[in-house]
Amino acid sequence: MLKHSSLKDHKFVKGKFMTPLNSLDQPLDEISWFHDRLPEYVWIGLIIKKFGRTLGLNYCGRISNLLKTINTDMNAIRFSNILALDAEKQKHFWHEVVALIGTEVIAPLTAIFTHSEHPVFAEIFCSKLDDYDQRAEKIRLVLHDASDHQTYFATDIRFVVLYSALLSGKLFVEQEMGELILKYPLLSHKNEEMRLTRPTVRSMEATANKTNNEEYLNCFWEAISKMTDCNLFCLPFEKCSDDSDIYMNHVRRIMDYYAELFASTSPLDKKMLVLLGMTTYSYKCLLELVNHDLYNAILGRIVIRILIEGYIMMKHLLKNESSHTDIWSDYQCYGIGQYKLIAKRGEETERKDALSHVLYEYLGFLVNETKDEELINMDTKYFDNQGIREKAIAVGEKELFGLYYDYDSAFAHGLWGAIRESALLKCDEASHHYHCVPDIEDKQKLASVWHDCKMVMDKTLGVLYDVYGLPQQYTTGVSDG
Amino acid sequence: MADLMHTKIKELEFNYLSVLKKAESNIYSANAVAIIDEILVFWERNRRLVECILRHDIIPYDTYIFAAATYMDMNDYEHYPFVTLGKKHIMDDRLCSYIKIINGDCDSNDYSKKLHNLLLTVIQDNIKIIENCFPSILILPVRFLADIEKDAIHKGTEVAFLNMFTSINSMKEFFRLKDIIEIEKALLPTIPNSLIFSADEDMSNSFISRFREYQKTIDYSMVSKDDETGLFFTAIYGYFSQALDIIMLCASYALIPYIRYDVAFKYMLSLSSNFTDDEKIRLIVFRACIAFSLYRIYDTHDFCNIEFSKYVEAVIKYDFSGKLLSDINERNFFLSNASVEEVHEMIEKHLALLKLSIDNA
Repeated sequence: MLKHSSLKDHKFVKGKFMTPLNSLDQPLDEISWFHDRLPEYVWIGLIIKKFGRTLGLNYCGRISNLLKTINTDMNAIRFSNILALDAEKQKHFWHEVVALIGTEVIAPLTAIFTHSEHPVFAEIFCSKLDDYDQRAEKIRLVLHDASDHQTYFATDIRFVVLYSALLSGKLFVEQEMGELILKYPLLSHKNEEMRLTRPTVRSMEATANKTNNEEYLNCFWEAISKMTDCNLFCLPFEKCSDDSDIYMNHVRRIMDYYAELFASTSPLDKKMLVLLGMTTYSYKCLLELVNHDLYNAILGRIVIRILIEGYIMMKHLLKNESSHTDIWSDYQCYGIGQYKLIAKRGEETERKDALSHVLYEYLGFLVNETKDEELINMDTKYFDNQGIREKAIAVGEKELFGLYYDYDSAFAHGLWGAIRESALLKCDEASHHYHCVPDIEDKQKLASVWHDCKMVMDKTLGVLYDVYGLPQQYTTGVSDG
Repeated sequence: MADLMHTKIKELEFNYLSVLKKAESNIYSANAVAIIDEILVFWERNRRLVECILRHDIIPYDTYIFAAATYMDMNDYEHYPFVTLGKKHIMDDRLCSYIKIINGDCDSNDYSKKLHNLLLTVIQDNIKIIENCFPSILILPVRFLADIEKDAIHKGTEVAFLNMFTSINSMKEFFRLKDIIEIEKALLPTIPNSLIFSADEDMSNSFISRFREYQKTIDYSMVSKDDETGLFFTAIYGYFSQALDIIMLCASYALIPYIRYDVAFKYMLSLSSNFTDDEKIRLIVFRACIAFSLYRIYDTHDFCNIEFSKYVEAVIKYDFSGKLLSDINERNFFLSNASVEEVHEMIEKHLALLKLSIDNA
């Protein structure tokens, strides 16, 4: 299997990591086996499925030889090309095919190619019909088994395509390679020689198939997608939160200690207020995670993102304390300034919604709580002119940002990766292109955030521990920051 | 305003029209199988859209389905009374069910030829419905495609059928009965007089003589005329199955069955008595009774001169359904206590007022 490019292999250009393939001057054509070629050869797959590999390939070979007398195009064996033959030629061809293999084998395709668009085909193959569901199931099975371009079944089909292309005389190969290819139907897949022959067949077939018939493909896939029901599945995830009660009690005791310490020793200390305030905010988020069973929920990822950002910010404030006159007041002002901006917008809007969760008037009170709002600016940039990534690197937490925060940010912003992971269910149906459907019934949960939440909460408490210490009885489980 | 559902419904109906027209011109050709198979394939492909329409586009208990009929009969203006009650209307397309019976060559036997004739009539009627009645009436193969428990219906029908007999406990035992006389002996005493074979039979005649009259009318059937047990089964089991199917279908999707055929209506009413505890089914059956009464009273000559779309507009403007149901509710009528005469009077009154509103417009 082709090895994927590493991060280093990508070219970073104007904020984008470009893959080596996408960096080429000539973009690659994307003609996929499953989407763009297999639909043309489902009929071959049906023959091989019905008669088995040996006899099936034999029949396909005879049919290819027959086709050569009618159409010398290299892609004559494509179903769309056969359906496009004039009526007489098509009738002659199908009658010969029926004489060889009967009508039942290819008849399932009448569920897609009906009389109004393809009268010749439909008239010949509609004589003895399976139920619609049975026809759909036979097609579905071929699509499913041949969806991976490297399976034996898919390779057998590709061999027939290649053989037909060679017969047309328009595809040239070296003698040695030609001999190798012609041995293909005679050798079992277990034969060692096939380890070379199969890749040869596949690469040559791909070379011979550079174009596709969009109209045919659209018609095919539209019909196919309506034939079958979704086969949905979801990934199971455990909560992994057996120790949540014990852990939360432990954190609660520590928080109690710091709260009491603050109130009794330094009730006016801004630094302590800010650090404790930030830790309490993280603690409350964690409490909500536990109380509302959000371990495997989308909101669980928002919680851990908050914890990480809070922790990084605490470390940043401590690290840069000496370069500010009063970084703690600055930080509070920055946050309150954000509130002021919102409160001002609320004041000035004509639109008043009594049921809104944003209490603009109350925000106004909070803004004016410690000083008059006329003394509070509204800074719309990052605090200290540094984004969270730069802050994380500066405080030695690049990994925490790169491996966790960035991932959780996708959930906070509702980016497609997060949507795909949490809000969509995968369909295991080849005829539906293995698509995804909305998870309205909330079946798909996510991997538990509990372990990582504890890790970050411990780091956060570790910051307080470093600054204010902690009696020994509380120190179990608190890591160094 | 964009409405994907209604765009898709229109596409569906007119694509079906195209399929029907091709089928119409080729039904007797040697390619008949391929052509009518296309109708089956068309609906199977659109199964999910039909289910989506049934789940999301109908108005619960105010959408009427033209059921227990092979075709509507546009030539007889049957579409006029049908659209008089209710906000949405669906013609249950039976083509797919009949198509499954077709074996192929239309010249093979007389029965098959007659079936082809019937198919042609239905196809032509369906074409007229789409061309003249869309969007007021949709054609959908509801009973054919609906996602309801077919096994449960078969079981229920068998139970209802066998419950008519004193000591016949299985279908195998039933088919051991040789003729209609043995059947009558095996039935519970009250049953023979409640069974109906056809619409115009004289109920004062005996069970056996009514069956004999019915036997004479059988034009074509999968069963031989001389096989009395088979004929009895086909008739009665068929009616039971149809009635139960209609009840379950309408209960699943909150539809009201519009049944104009006497016999089918009576069996539906009779079998619905097994669901007296179900409030929703009682409501459905009550409204079905009102619709049946409307059908019996309605004189198409009063309205058939009005262009259909204008008639629909007039019905909506007058709010025939709303006014009639309001009058019925004011009298506190339900399935158990409604006076048939009074309901008939209300229907007549509102039909007269509707006509007046149209004449004065």
